[in-house]
Amino acid sequence: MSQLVELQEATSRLAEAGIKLYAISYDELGALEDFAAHHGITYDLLSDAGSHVIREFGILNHHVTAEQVPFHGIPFPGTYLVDAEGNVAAKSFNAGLTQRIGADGLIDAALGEILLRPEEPSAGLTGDAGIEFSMAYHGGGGVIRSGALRTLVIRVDLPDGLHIYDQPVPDGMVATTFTLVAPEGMRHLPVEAPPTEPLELPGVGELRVWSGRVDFSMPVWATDEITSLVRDDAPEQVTIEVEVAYQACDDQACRLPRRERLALEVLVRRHVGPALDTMPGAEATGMDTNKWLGAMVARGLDAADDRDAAVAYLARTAASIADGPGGTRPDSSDASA
Amino acid sequence: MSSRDTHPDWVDEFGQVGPLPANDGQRQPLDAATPTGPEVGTRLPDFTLPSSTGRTVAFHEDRGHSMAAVVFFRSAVW
Repeated sequence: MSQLVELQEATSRLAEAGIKLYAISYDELGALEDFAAHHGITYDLLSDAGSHVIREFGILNHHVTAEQVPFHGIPFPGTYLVDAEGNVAAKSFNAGLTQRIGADGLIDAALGEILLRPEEPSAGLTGDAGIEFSMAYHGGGGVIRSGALRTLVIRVDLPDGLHIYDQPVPDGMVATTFTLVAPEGMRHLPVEAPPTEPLELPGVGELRVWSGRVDFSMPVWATDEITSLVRDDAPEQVTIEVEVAYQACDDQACRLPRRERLALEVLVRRHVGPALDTMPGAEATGMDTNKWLGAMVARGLDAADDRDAAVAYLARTAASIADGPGGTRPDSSDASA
Repeated sequence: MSSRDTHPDWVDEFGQVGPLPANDGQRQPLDAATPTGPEVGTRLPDFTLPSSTGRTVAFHEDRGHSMAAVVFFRSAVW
């Protein structure tokens, strides 16, 4: 749901990039209309009640069995970027069910490059031998939201003649590495680096190096540990640091290995979630969740082959949620409409 | 305001907390064997679905010659 709201916030930028936006779920059309009305969603939320398109695409979540009413019918969540000819240009299906690509990820994929925006937090410093380092927290308007993938863009500007190393390097030399230093709950994926150039060192062999301007990307996301879904005293902003280890060399000699630390303060936004009164820290959607859940349950029971098993699952699930993890929500006046 | 401790059964391997235990079917993580549908480079299958905007959208006709993003999401209800 946070993903849908973030996409709405980015509709003009998506339009500028020439990307039309469509979102599909197994929800009833009325539920989508209700959600759109409450969140000002202007793009198309398409109702695939019955999950026919989800099945045709081959992305029905098969871990959810037919008697798991009302959850049966959901897709594996993912996003396709379609080119002007109608072919799939890129797709994003992430391992964590709550990790989601954002609008900026789509725009970056469409453009083939990362365009930083002025509101995105950034920091810079000058390191060894005049090497300039900068880092920006890219995506989603520069704020943290649970599960939304963002990118730490780390730019290294090397003066002419200097280079830094990719792995592997021989003993005694230091390759360029990046270490995330952040509160528990900030996670990252492997760093994406641009292509290297070969450098032949006599007696050592071929090494791989970067020179000039080099942009590294570290995809990051925040789990519920940070974004308050598990506690009421969640921070309003967090410090995210990246330590860069590197060694700069020119054609003649190598300098001593160094470490630099880039630090950013990033705001934490609340999660948009269902008004089920089970999770603290979530911003309720404002729609009549119970009404639409009831409709989904009725639909699921009608479709279930084994109605008794479905009813038993529902009873277990209801008890489990009542028993559940989040405890009492913060006062409902806390949730904005 | 009150909060209580989160039982570890509700926290998945990615640190996310859900309204059901992490081993429940609908919270199973995606692995390498998880299907991701149409492959890069192939035409996205066409579909026609009713929209929250009041229209009926026939995808390829509606996008015309524009690029498009098609987002499959879990639910706007839960």
